[in-house]
Amino acid sequence: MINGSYSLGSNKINLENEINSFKNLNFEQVFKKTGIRYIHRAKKDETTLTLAIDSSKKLLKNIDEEIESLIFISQSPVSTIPAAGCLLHEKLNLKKECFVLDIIQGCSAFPYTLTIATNLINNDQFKNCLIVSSETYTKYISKNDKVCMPIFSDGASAIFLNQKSTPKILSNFFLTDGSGAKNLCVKSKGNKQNLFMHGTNVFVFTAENVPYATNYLLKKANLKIEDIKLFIFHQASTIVLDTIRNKLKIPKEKFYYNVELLGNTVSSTIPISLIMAEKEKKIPKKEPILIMGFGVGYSLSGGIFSFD
Amino acid sequence: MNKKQLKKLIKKIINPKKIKNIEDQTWDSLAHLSILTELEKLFPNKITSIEKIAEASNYKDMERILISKKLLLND
Repeated sequence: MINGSYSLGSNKINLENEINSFKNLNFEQVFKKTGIRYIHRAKKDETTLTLAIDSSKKLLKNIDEEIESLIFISQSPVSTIPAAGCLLHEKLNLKKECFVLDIIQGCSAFPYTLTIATNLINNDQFKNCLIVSSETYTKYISKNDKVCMPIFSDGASAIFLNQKSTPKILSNFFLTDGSGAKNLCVKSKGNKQNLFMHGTNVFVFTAENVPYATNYLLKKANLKIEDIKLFIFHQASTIVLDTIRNKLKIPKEKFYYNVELLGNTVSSTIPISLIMAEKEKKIPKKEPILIMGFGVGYSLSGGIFSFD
Repeated sequence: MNKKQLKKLIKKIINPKKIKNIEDQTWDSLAHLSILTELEKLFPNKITSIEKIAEASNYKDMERILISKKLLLND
């Protein structure tokens, strides 16, 4: 069972208005490719820390165990020195004898983290783990950026795992290709930091490597596409998701999409999808589901998991 | 696929009114993605594995790359 909650940036933006204000671009043209109608932009006073606190507090209200480990995923943290996980630990009033780790792998971070947390709990290192992701990429994006603005969105998630709720790992896979680092990165110009994305290069990396990684995972777990009950891929954009689905011949009903209303919330897309899919009763108990994150780095991580 | 078919595919994606001479045509990233996904439909699992295909943001480069991979007839 997935026990989690999420929070989105408070400014819900209807992209139709914003994109139609650009010269030589119309919303329908962009929507056909991205599949994104709304993004959620953090307000000035909202940060990855405030969103993380909000989603964590909503979840912790219903948890009566003391948190023994906290893994904080963010590629847009409010602080790198000190690690933002320490700030979150303090704001959540967690006990001092607590394992705290920051992960900054972006879109591929959640499957990495789920694997780490599951192994730590299953090896009796800790009784439980709070996994929090939070991103505010829009703070690096100009409202006039025609490439990144219509895609990225701000959001946070919190997921609680303990010995009863850790998934079984049927297979996992990790891939890194640093030659793609320049294709999705933050570039500094004076005091300003701007997100740069070479969309076509990132698309080609994804279209090549995600099907390969999926087939690897299936082979390692001795399973076939038809054995997987649900596929949750990083919600990059519709063109990316449709390309993956078509290449792997995955039936639409087994393929999770929520990008239209949420946009691409980077490391938060997979945990938010898991939480939403659980609410929609789309995650069958003790059946294999495949999750995979990919992008910035380039980095990719995925696994076939089954939840009780 | 021949050059006529490639030009027709590109004209399907880029508004023909905006094309003066297809041989000199360039495109933005949205059109580029559409061209790649259309080509991928014609040549499954062959397009995105081509090195530098993501850099081919004009007709000439795309034509040259596809010919080199024997996916386009040099007619």
